[in-house]
Amino acid sequence: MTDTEKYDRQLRLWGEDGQAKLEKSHICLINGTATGTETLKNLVLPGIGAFTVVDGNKVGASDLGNNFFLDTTCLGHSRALKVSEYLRELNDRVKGSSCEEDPVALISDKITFFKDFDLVIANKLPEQSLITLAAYLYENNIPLLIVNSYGYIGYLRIVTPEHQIIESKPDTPLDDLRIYNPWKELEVESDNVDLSNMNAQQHSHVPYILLLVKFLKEWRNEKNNGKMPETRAEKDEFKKFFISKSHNSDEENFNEGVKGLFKYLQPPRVPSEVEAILNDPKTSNINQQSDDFWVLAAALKQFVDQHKVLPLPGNIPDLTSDTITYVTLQKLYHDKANADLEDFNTKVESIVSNTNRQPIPSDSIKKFAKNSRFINIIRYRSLNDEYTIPNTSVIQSEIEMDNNSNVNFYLVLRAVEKFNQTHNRYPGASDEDVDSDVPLLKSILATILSEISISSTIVKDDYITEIIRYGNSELHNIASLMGGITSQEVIKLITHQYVPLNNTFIFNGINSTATPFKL
Amino acid sequence: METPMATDAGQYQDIQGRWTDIEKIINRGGPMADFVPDTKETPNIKNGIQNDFKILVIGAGGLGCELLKNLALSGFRNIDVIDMDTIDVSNLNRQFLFRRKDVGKSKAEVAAAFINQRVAGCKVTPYKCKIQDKDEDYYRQFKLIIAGLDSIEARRWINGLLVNLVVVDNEGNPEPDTIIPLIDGGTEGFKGQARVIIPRMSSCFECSLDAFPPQTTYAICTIANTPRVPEHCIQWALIFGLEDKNLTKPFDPKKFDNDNPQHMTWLFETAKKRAEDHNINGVTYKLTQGVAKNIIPAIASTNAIIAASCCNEAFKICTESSGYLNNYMMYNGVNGVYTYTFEYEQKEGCAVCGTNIVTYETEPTITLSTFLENISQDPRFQLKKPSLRSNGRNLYMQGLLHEATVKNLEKTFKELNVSEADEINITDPSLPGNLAIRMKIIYKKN
Repeated sequence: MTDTEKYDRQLRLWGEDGQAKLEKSHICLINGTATGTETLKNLVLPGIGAFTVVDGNKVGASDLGNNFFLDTTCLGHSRALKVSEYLRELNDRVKGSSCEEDPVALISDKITFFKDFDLVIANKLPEQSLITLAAYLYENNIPLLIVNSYGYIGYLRIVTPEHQIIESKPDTPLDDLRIYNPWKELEVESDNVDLSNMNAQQHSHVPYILLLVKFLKEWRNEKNNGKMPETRAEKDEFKKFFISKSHNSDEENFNEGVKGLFKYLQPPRVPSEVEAILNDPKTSNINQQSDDFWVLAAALKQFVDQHKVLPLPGNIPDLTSDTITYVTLQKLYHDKANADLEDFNTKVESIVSNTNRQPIPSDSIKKFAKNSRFINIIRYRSLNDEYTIPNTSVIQSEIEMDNNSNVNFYLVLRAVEKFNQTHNRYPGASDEDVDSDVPLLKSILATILSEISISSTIVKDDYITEIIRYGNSELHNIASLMGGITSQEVIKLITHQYVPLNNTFIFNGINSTATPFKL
Repeated sequence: METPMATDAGQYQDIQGRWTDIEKIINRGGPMADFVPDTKETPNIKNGIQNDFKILVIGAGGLGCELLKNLALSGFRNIDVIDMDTIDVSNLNRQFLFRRKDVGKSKAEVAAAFINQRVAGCKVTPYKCKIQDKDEDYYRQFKLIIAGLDSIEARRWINGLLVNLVVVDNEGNPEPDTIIPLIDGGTEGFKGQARVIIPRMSSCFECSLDAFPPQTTYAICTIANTPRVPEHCIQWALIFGLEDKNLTKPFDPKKFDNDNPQHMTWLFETAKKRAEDHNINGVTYKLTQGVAKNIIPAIASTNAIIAASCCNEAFKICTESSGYLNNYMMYNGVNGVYTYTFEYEQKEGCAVCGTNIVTYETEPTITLSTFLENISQDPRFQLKKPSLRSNGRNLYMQGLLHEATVKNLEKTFKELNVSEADEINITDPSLPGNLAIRMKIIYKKN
């Protein structure tokens, strides 16, 4: 059982199901820097299951200037050990451990260390080790988040082959009410509405759903040869017809109907994200090894092929109505949703038995059916692809649109990592190198740009001097901001709710702008 | 724990090399900043953040905990924090300076003690009080103020005060020394915003009131006669159930307390009964709490993002070591990582920082009561108990003059001799200080 009292404010977002997934997760952090501990802080607080910090460093003086999970007594001790200790204090339900080995050595000597984690967060990892780790985790289906804070700039990249989302929870979803395509019982219910025998009170309390269904049918048959209103003019005609049925402009139920009219006069459509899942090769190649998600998607495809619509979610919004009519209408939708679910369930069961695989829990089936409009899948490009088959067109068009685009910082940060790989130090790390590092970094950037077939003059020198000025400094504010962003993406990845970033994010702390890129 | 060094900010001797990350930024100039960097001989910026500048944090909750940590690790040593609240169990999923043993204690005091112990050399001074308890002289001592509040009313108050502190010379130019920047953050679930307000120079909090959607309200007649959803039943228990003498209650209904589990259980059961009587499903204890306390979901990550953005701006304003946010950043993490940074412009007729008058279009046949209802629901004004005056006469007044003016409510503007282009002065307890909204009436031409 979770702690519903302590977690109340977050359970209202991701529910007990999301919470259970968090509590089962074991997350690895590479390097207990300020950025690293700020990320973990926001995951320990809401209650992940466990974390492990890998860090070979000892606590130094500068750690005390930016890392909140250390204090003066920690100087000289293992940073992995100390930050784990202080992070654990945030939540007694979370297990925390530390590994005092150098992550670079661990990756080259014993990479299997990482195979049991549910997710890995890497910070300040040299490029070569990062590429090795990223390839290993990609192969093993373990999400990797690469996060760095560099002066006023923040960088985040998410890498995982495939991420499945069952509840994308959009801000303002359009209710599926089947006004355009009512099922039989709804049509009968609306046919039975007899406005002529109603007093004023009753007349103004017929739910607009019934009014729209009723008058759409009437209008179609009387005025449009049975055809639905398609053109703008036809829709306007219908609107006038609908309004003419009201007693006066104060009838809230009619006003609600007019307000929703144009969005409900659209033919039912499977959202493009869902369409893509239905047409995915994985949906048509179900076998014993297929994930639950793809088995459910295959059943959904059969459902849509047969009914031409997605299963009805069955919830209706609050709308002007008297209590009894509302409750009756609610039940009508509820019954239809149950019927759809039963049909969907049968399809799932037959796939399960045909492929001889494990049955799927009924809660999962129900959740999938209810959220079938909101399922989504993201396939991230691997880091190796980003480096070897660069997405030149994205970078090119970003800069062409705005030569001060934040993509400039992505490019100079790539150069900074390459610089570190070559010189074993960061540009501008000490005061005396600030000026002499400019031509060095510039030539490295030119090499990177030529590899991605972009003109070397496209990035202004200002970006090079500014990034050298930072000299690998980690400001607490930027670390904390990136820790916030990163932890939020981790929560989305672990709970399979909401839609995570795809795939790169730059925060520009100079003017407080931020840009996502698909690289 | 006893630290070997004195914690008094002035005397603290820092560990060598502790602030190297910040020093790179303030000792080195760059193409994207316009400032005079520190040198060994003239460490003006470092002196400023460590000794000269005093910062005020309003609120020691979800944002407040983050703000204090961020300021302390940005090198600031003189910080005040004001919060009148005490710690609740449901704070512990994000307010990381508090532990279970702290439940019931003052947020400001526990937060300050934690920071002072963890970040050597930093001195946070807590005040467990309302912001309205402090006077102008108190607020004048700060270099800047950061607000992490959940109440619109408190933000309007501090905003109004800071705008009024600015001294404007004869030519209408504000005197720079009297400007105290206000940095304001807010979050809700996966969303939030951070903004910089430079009083009299940029738009102020009041200018953007209509960006805050009004609270969800339910029509009283729906609650009384045609309940449909569980929220209606909970509202019924709150409004009618509490007043109903026939319903037994294990407490004095006049002293209903949201935080008392016994009271909440009664509310839940009453709402549930009401729902059952009307065949409505879905009244749960959790929902009852949510509706009764108007609970807004809150998580650590969003607070971290918004607070960090606020403190990044504070650090840049104090050090001038970079450009700054002009002047509003929205964040939404529901679908990807979406942000939008833009300049919120000063509003014509802003009651606080504007000199202009709002024009309001209506008809001479409108009754005063309808007019009152309309402006009370208008998100631009966010009024609570407005009083109205026009042409030197009281149209409608709260308090002592209420009796004398209540009969005007049924009269039309025409009957009250409110003519085209007349000005109506609106005062309201939610408006800071003695401010009034000046509204010029324009009649629709038919």
